[in-house]
Amino acid sequence: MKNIFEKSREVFFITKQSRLRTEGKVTLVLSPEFYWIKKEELPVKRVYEAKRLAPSVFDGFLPEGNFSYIVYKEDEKFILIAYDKEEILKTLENIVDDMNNIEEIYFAQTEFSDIEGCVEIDDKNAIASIEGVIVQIPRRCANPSMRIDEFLEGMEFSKYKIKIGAQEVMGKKELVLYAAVFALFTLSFLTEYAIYKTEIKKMQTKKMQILTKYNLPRTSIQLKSIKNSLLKSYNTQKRIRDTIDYLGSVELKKGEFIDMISVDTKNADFSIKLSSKQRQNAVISYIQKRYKIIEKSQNNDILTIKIKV
Amino acid sequence: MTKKNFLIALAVAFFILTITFIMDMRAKKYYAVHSPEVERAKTEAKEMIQLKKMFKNKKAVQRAIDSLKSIKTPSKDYKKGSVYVLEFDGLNVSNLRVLIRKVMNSTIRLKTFRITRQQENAGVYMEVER
Repeated sequence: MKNIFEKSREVFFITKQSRLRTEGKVTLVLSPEFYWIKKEELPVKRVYEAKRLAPSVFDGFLPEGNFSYIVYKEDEKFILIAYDKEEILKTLENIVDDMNNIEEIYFAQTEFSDIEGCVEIDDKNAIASIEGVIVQIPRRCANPSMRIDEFLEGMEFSKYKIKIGAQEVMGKKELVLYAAVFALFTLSFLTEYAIYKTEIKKMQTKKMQILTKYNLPRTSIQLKSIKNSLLKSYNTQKRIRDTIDYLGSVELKKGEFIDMISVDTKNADFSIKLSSKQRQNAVISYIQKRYKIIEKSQNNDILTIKIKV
Repeated sequence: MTKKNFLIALAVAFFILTITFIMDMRAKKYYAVHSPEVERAKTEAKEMIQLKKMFKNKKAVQRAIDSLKSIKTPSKDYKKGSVYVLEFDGLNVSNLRVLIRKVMNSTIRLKTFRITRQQENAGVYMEVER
């Protein structure tokens, strides 16, 4: 089925003697003069395998040039088409007035494989299918029943074509060079990645060995919990000892003595017998330097203070 | 190679290059962040062992209590729940100083520590976590 959005283009059958004046984009079908063809049975089953063999099939048949190959299967045999794109384009420059108007180029073999009898292409030439191979023959040798124009109108094309726009953007050498650069970068990244991965694995093993050696849990949550609990104990004990030391170091004047020091995990009580009322401020300011006083009372000359440890 | 194929190959190559680059960068970053962890783990492990020795060593607690008892026989010595209770009466200045120094330098976990004046001597009440 023809795509309704497809642009309608003029289609021309081209021989080496044709001359074409174009107005807008055109599609060309090349006569058998432009390419070489073989129909062979090959010791392979698949088309891509046959395509690999194509250069050797044409070995010795082709002139000097840079050949490309189209291969497809017809019944049990392979159709192999060899063409030199550069040579074709060079020839077309003498045939077509504006090369930019050429959109696609097809082969007579792929487009007219099912014709029967002879088809006239101009006053001197005709094409005919001989055992499935399209050949160009002089018109006078045959009695053409149809003209090529009748075939070209509303023709549906195969997938085998030469794309004009699809020109080589770089040669094989440059391609290999760029590919090598890319491969080198990729390889360097992958190597570095592998090295880091190995180091990370080593690091994790080392960490596990440390935890096993010191008989510690493997998860960081458990580790953190144990550490916090131990640190809490350490800090509490340090605070209790510091408080005892600090309260026991209060400066005593003559006739003064410490009546009581009592420290627990939260608070501390401290009683001192003072020699005078004026000494009260000195003792309180000494304690306030480090601790927050919660309560204080004075009974005669005994000052009692409750602080937060 | 045609332009179309070239662009496809370029896109694929760029994609592979980007993926390998990102993989490499992520591994590098992970290593940079986590590599000091080994040394840190070693230091932390040593700290924890030290702390465990300080606070979870029952033999050391018992040794410290016996050492306190050797200064003067306690007037009361009993276990109450999860604590040891030790009460000393009539401690002279010298005994009190030795007792305080030993308590301060030991790793016993004090819950309560009380010193009271008893005329010319002192009394000590202490609760130690078992």
